[in-house]
Amino acid sequence: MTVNPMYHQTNQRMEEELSWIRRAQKDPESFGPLYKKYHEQIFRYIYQRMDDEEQAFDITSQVFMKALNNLHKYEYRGVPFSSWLYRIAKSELYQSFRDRKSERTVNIESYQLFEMIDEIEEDNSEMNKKRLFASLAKLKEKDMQLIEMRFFEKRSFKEMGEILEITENNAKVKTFRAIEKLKQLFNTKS
Amino acid sequence: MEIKKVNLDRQNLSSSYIEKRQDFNHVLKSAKMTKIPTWKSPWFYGAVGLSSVAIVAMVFTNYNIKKELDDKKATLKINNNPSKAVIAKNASKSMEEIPNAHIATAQSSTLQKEALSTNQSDFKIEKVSIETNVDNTNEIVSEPAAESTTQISKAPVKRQIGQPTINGIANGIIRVDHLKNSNLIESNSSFEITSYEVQYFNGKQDVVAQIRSNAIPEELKDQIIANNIGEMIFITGIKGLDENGKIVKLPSINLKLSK
Repeated sequence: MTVNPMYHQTNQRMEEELSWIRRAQKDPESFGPLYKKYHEQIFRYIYQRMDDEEQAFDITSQVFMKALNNLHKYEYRGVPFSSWLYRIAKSELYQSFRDRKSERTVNIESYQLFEMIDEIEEDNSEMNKKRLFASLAKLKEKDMQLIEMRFFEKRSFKEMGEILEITENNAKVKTFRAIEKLKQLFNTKS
Repeated sequence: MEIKKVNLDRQNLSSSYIEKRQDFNHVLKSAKMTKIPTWKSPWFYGAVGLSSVAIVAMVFTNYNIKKELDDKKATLKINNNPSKAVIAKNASKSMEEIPNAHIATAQSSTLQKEALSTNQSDFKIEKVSIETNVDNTNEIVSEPAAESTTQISKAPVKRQIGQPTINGIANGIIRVDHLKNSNLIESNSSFEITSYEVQYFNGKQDVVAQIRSNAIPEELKDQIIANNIGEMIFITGIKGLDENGKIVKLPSINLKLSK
């Protein structure tokens, strides 16, 4: 399985990013390069989980606004700046769901469904595709977000751990359990 | 949280489209607008509040400590029956304001820590009583007293309306011959003195003599002269009649007898 290449950065890139952050901490206008670099990633993360495009752009703006206002609190811990942004994005997204400004939606591509069917060791038939589709809709949010990150967004367990604020191993274990639950739902249906 | 909807193969947004929607200036402006000023933040109020409380507490504690020290420095109480006199709490108080009786009391060697009371047939004496929490009582008592003795003669005598005098002296040093030649207690106004009390040492103890006239009996003068040279004599409870025949209480006379 391929993983998100944006997350994995060279030391040189990381250092450059850190210098942008340090500059932006002193002068907010220097936040521009970080905004440009991460805007699309954050937008896609948000839009993946909701249906309303405009709302997704608004929430993305809010994420960067919050990041800018709280940049003085940011501490470099050897992980990409995006992890911090994703955590803000997650918090803003869930706040929007709680405020009923938007609805939680799961967006899947057909090919991703087939990959999932392979994962749960079932036949790649049209019938199974429909069953899996229905099973995904029944999955709980905490399991769904792991499957979403791992299979639809192709994130590494390390990155998942950093976004969800858990260890890499824990992310691995939790994802495995989520797949088991999906399998159960899939088989219950049949 | 409930998953409301599952979309299959939703149209993908292109990177160029997403890039077009970037608006860093808007984010920057909004961030500036939504930023809570320092003085509005709860941290600011917490810090300011705490420091205010600390300052108030410090000021209050300092004030109390100062007050307590002042009290400890010079708390002399003289209980004189029937009249009561209390020495000024503040040692730095000007001499004019400190009744000479107290100065003299402090100066006299008869300072005692315990009250001494003697009951006699027609009078009662409660000797000088000093109340102080300071261990080095003698130091504190004697120092200001010594200073004050020298100042008694220098300090201008404050005359009050109706102030009674003996030979024109109300407070301060009176010579033996002046006392001997004085037969009356007089008032500087039109008060007619009707009674008074004299506290003096009769050779054995302090006594209080009650006199029901403005005259100074010869026998009293002799006893005072014989036993009180260098000592204080307190004439208190002086009562007189004003122009309308109304009884009024007049200020005391505090004298130090000298040769």
